[in-house]
Amino acid sequence: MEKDKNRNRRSPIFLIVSMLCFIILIIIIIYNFYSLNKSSTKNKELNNTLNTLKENYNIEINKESELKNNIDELNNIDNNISKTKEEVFKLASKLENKITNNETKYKIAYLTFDDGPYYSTDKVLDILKKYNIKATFFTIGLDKDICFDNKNYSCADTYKKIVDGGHTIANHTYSHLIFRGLYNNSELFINQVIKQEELIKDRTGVTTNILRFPGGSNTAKSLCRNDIDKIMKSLQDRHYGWVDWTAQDGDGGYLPSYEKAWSNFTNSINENIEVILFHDYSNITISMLPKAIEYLEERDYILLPLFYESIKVNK
Amino acid sequence: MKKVALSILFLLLGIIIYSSYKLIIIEKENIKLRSVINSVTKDNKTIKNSNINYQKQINILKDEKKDKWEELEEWKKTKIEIEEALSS
Repeated sequence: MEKDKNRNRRSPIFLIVSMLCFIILIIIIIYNFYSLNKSSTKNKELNNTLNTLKENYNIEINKESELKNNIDELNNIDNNISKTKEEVFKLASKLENKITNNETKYKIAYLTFDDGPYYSTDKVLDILKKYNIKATFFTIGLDKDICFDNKNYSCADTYKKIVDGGHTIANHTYSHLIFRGLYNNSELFINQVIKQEELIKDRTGVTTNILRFPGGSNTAKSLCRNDIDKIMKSLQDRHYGWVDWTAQDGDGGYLPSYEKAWSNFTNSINENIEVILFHDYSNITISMLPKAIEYLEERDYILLPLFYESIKVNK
Repeated sequence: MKKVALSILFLLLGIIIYSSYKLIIIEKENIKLRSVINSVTKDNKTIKNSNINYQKQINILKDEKKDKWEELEEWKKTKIEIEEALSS
């Protein structure tokens, strides 16, 4: 009886203690799960942060290799220009073949400027730079220390400006004196070629092997009938190639107006690979040049400087 | 009644032990992640600084060789133009 009474008295206390323990355990569990949830969220956040950091790290690593390449490129800029130029000319050769076989809608135009440099050559170079166009300058050497079209200036440095602009500098003989003995005999002609070659080398450091006969190859052939084979052989021996032209605005002769120059020019453009003859002393040509470039580009012409391997360079 | 109470008690204790174990593992992982993050952040900072220096070096070189750099860029553009024409 006494035992039962005690048990009855203990029962509520036992229950209360048990309930308290239960509640404490539940609180601990809730706290644990709350912490677990918080830690998991934090874990996800940390993983995301780490992934972002890793991505950024990879971006920076790629950037680093790109920057290192740029530094190498800049340190070896002359080699890189030569290498890229060679690649461009190789590709241009392929494009010429494709054009010849009618396998592409694209065409090539080689802008060429004869008889310079002149004071006005600077204007030509500025226009070409503005349009990111490279051209070919067939230069002579006689009387160029004082510019023919502006006696206050010397044209001696213009050879270097042409080369620095990335253009092809080519040989048009030293004197260009067609009717004063240039074509009298092969020896004299070749000496004129060599003299100009040396002048170009001296002024620019470039050895040229592309020639345009003053007056064109037909003039050369008609004026030195007997010696033309000798001339051609000598040029071949010196690894020269020569170029005529397929289009022009007529600025080498009498040109009465801009309109006449424009009509001459547009009427002469009809081949898929054009070599266009201009003269950098002609103010009409210079004022027409931007429009001429746009005209050619609108008609899918890619404007390039001449290179020895081109099919337009006769070897 | 006692048996039921004891079962609940052990169940609750089990849950507490399991959740604590999980918590410890996640916290350990978090500590590891924090240390990795710190080291990657440091690496990032180092490489960023070195890239800034490279960029400065490039800017100086570009300034010195401005004309040549422009010429190279122009040749690259021409190359792309011809490549596009070839692939058309």
